Amino acid sequence: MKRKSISLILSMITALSVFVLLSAPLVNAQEEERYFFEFHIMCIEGFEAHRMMAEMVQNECGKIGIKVTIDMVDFSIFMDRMYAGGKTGELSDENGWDTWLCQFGDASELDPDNMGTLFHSKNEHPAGWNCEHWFNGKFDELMDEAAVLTDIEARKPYYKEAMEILADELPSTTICYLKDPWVMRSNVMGFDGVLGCYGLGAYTWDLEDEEGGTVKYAQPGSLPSLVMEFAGAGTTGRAVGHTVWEALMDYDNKYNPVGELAESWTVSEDSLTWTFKLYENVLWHDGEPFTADDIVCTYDAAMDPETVFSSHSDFKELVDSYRAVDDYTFELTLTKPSAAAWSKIFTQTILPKHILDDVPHGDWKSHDLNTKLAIGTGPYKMVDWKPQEYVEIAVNEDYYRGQAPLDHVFFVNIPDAATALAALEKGDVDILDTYYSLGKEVPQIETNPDLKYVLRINPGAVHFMFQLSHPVLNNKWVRKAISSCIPRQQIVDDILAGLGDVCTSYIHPLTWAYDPDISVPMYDLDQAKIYMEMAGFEYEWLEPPPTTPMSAYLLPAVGGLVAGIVVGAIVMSLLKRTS
Amino acid sequence: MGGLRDYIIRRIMSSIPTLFGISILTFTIIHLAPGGPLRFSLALQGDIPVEYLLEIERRLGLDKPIWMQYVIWLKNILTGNLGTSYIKEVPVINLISLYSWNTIKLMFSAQVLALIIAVPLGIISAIKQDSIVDNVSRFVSLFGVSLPTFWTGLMLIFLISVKLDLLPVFGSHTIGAIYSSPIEAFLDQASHMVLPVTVLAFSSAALITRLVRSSMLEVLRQDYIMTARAKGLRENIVVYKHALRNALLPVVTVTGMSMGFLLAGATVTETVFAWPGLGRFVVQCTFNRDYPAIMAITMIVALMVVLSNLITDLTYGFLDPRIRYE
Repeated sequence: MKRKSISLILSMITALSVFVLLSAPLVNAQEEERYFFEFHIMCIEGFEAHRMMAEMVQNECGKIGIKVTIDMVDFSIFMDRMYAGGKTGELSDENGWDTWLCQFGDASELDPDNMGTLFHSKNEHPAGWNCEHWFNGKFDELMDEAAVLTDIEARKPYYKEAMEILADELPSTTICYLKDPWVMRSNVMGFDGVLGCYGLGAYTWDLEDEEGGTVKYAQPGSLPSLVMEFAGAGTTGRAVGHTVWEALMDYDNKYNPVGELAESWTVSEDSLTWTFKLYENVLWHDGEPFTADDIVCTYDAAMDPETVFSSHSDFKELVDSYRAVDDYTFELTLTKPSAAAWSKIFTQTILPKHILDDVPHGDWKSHDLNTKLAIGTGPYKMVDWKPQEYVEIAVNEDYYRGQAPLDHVFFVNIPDAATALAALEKGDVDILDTYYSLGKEVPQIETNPDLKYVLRINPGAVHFMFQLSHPVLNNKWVRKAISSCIPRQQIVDDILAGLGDVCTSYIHPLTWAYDPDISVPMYDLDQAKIYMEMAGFEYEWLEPPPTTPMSAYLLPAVGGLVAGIVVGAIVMSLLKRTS
Repeated sequence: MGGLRDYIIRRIMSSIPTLFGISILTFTIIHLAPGGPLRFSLALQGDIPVEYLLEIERRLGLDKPIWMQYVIWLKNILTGNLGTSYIKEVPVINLISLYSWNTIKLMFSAQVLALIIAVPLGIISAIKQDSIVDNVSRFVSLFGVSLPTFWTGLMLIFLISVKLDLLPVFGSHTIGAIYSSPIEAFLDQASHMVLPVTVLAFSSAALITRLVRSSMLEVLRQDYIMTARAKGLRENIVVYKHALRNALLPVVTVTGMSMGFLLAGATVTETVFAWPGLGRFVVQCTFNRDYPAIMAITMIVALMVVLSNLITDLTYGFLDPRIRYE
């Protein structure tokens, strides 16, 4: 029994010695994996390009000593963690987020004033969408001062300085713009990639060698409601918005404000009172004349929270009073001068007073005008809406700015991209929406003489947002270092297959406020390391210590082995003698 | 006859706790799913003011505790009110009646087609075991069971619609078409049904073929079949009168239970073929977290499955007179 115990002890000593010997390389390897800190990138599950971008950032950050974990989460979880993270905590470990990578906004970047949505301190969540908790008094001041100016040239220096602050402080960095293809039959003419986004393009669509004719436009989402200002009307813009409905003002294809129902307008010297001269020969699609009273009726609804227009809070903040001066003159006074009033107030869909005047505002959302048949003033009249199938619009022959070239347009609902492409190839539909994300199909489309495509630079950039509550990411040098780790050109070339542009600014390059001289830190790993050192991280620490030589492990292991054998032999001989 | 009536009443009564359990389970699961109706419908619209979200939440009653929301829903459904869709702002019953006819058309046609193909094929395979027909039918049905519906659908679109230009790609009818006669309209709608019905029927037929074959093989080996043959009965009578009736029992079971599977298949098929039906509506409602619509559809489908199982059980009695309902 005693011998068995001794044998066991000897075996254990031998095993331990062997373990020490074998584990030496592992210990060394572990020592090599040193990093300064770790953070998470949150992306939306299903957006394969975003995942690949995050992996590139992960790889590059690893080279400067930052460990990155990628969290691919469901869209709903993404939204919950992004906007409601504060309920449980701000950071990733607390069910919030450290950083997120996502394409943000669409029309939101058309006016530079909208930078405030994400970065102005008055918009700190939950009051607004500043969820990264970045505050800068100077930035707020500049945004507020620029917001009350109406002259573009006067606004430019304010936004330039604001962008410089953003580029220096870097509460978020930008990665790229995507170029989405609108794929269409070769005979479709007059398609504008910018206007198409807002449905405005339908007015200029035409078919080659054909008088009138019908165009079928396929889109993956079905129309939830007809009036854009009601919740969930995201795809309405491309179907009935601007084709059937109209507003006082709108965008042109350079994202500049232009008149729609307003023929001209003047602004008072204090920039508070806007007076619109309306087109006089406008008819609603049911034949009733359009007058300034229709605008008053619609704006009354927008001012009333019961209507639940998504534009209500903008109206509440910016609109002081308004009135119909006469049938074709409308006057509105703002609470404060606002350059963004045109995008926030004057793009409100105008609805017919003669139909809605007696309807309580709370019932507007369930009214036939929103759920069955839109009656607007636009270049097309709505004819039919079969949910999940199509919306049919027909040319408005009495349109005050001249008749549109086509007779009919169908906005067809095809959920699957492959089916939509097959339908296009067969000629069952004429145009495919950008929502199908057919970038990868471009080489195939190029070989088909019956098809062509128009690239549209998406106004929304892919952003990389930092959570400023993070103990390390709150250092701007760290954020700059991470920004310098994003291989933007490689992302555009390899992930987007060239269908994108490197994005250097918070402002879209097509808009007037864009300044090519202001840029976020671009890819440069050497510079990234300099930023990290400026943040207080020392690369000497990151260098793995000299690898412990094998001899250092060999000596105690062999020594232990020999000692075990010697001690065992002595004990055994003593036992033998005593027995 | 009284026994049968009591049996039906008993079965209907016993399905009430089942439906009640399904309602609690579904209600809990959809509320546990991350996000909510507002997150989905509003998130992509950009900077929607928070106060606007809160106002909508209050109007929809989403600010109440979940148990209270369930009690309100239960109270409404017991009075025949299925609720109003959060997204569409119209009564759910209107939406269901709008979409369900198309789905019923698709499911019924697919089931009939599957039975028309599968039962004779299964019988021939069993009678002529290991023949060419049997081998081909086994091979094809293996494909049918294994291939995903969306893949089969897309391949058929590519081959039949795009390459051969024989059938339309999508939809339930040609959009914008003006028909000169009802026959023309019928033919147009029928041509749109061919591909989705074929795809839906394919996997169902494959399963039933295999089932009929194995069931027939088992029955054909029974002693009473041997006795029938020994009596000198003609082979047709042996097969169709004595064997088939017994072999159909498992087929009836599968056909009854396949209601739920068919609806699941219809969801995919409707998406691929842009078919305006209940399946696509369910997907849309789920993405939008349209709670009243999801609940209503789940309960209707659950009721359909319960009823089809009851019909299945009643069919057993017709096929096998030894079965008594007590």
